[in-house]
Amino acid sequence: MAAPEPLSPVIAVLNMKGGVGKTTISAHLMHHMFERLQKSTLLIDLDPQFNLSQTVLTRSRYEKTKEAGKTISAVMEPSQSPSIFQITTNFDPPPKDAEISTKLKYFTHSPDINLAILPGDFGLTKYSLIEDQASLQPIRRRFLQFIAETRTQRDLICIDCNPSSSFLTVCALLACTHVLIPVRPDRYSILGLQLLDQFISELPLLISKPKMIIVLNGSRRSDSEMSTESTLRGDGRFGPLVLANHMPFSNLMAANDGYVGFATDKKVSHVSAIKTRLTKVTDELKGHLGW
Amino acid sequence: MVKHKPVDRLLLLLAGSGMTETELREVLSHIKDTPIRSIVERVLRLDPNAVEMASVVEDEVFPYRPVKTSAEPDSTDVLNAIERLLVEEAGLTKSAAAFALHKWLQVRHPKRVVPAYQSKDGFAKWIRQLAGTFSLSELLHAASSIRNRRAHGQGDDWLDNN
Repeated sequence: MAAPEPLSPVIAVLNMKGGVGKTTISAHLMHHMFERLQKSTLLIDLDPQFNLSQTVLTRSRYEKTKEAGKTISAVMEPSQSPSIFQITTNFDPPPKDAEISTKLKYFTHSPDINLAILPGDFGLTKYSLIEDQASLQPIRRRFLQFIAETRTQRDLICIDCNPSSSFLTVCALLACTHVLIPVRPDRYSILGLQLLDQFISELPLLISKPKMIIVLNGSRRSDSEMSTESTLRGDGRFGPLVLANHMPFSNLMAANDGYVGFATDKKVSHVSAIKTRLTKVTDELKGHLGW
Repeated sequence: MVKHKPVDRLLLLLAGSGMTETELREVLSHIKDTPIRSIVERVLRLDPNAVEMASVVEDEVFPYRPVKTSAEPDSTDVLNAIERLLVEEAGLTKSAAAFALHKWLQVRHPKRVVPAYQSKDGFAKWIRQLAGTFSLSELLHAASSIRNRRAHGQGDDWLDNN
């Protein structure tokens, strides 16, 4: 009898420090990976600030999607509660990926190979306001069931997390096979990495620890950045986990010009240089995912 | 294997295209009325291996072709970084750098065979050989670790963990 197909990888993009490039990686690296490797990919915006959704969806499209109840909130709970401080008590099975995700791109020769997003929702904030952790357990189970079912349909799931040790972070860690940790070459984001490592190591619920992969976001420019990078790469615990190739640092990928969409779709001259760097990171990451 | 002349190959392609006689006549008539240069440009722009994609924006679909990137990963800049760390930043000669790196890898990875350094073949070639046994991340880790130990006093008591 043939061995069953291994389940698809689930990447949680996470660092305890903000501003290190989590959303950049979730949007632009995953988009490039989708185009290059032709893997059916679902992006999940699990951050209540929903910056990933704002990066790839226009405001009107996001609002239509939210009105239709097609955000991450629909996965966590069957319907929106009357107040952001209450949660639902009646739990049905989670919806299917195909029912609620928003398709962004697909290959015309094979439309099933598509890149889609499950947009984020400010309503997720309530989970950090509820003190009764036991009441959150059905929500976590529902989220994990959704991920388990989606892993049989997709080649890759990428969860963009918020930078905190919250209920949502625990959900992402329980669901993922890999934690992709963006690090800026500065001491504070490396300290954020140490905190995350400690959090993962000591989280009692997490019996099977996800594989950690660290990616440096931005090139070494100043002496201080070079020194910090060498400290990280030489570190006995983290050094071997750092991808050899950097994420490119470019204003093209920054959310500061009102552009909605993927950076490498922009019609500008230096886009090919960014693609080349993204290709290197993609090819290295591919090996870690067992592809 | 029979080799066809270019015109024969084109005729074979037309034969395999599934066109009716009427369609074939229309195509040939169109070609006859179009400048050769224009046809050549259009043919050269076509890439039979290019992938067609569609982007969905505001529920409208826009077809496009992504710009191709190299099929082969290029590790030259990482291998150059390893040499820079050991030779320029750690201040080692190439022989000393090779000795230190070889020893470091042997101690940390006793089950793997570390290729021997042959100075006549050059340092860069040896690093490439190492990349066949060790991942680029592992090699950068090793080179950075050696570099950091050479560069005393550059540590950070919040970050150092060796």
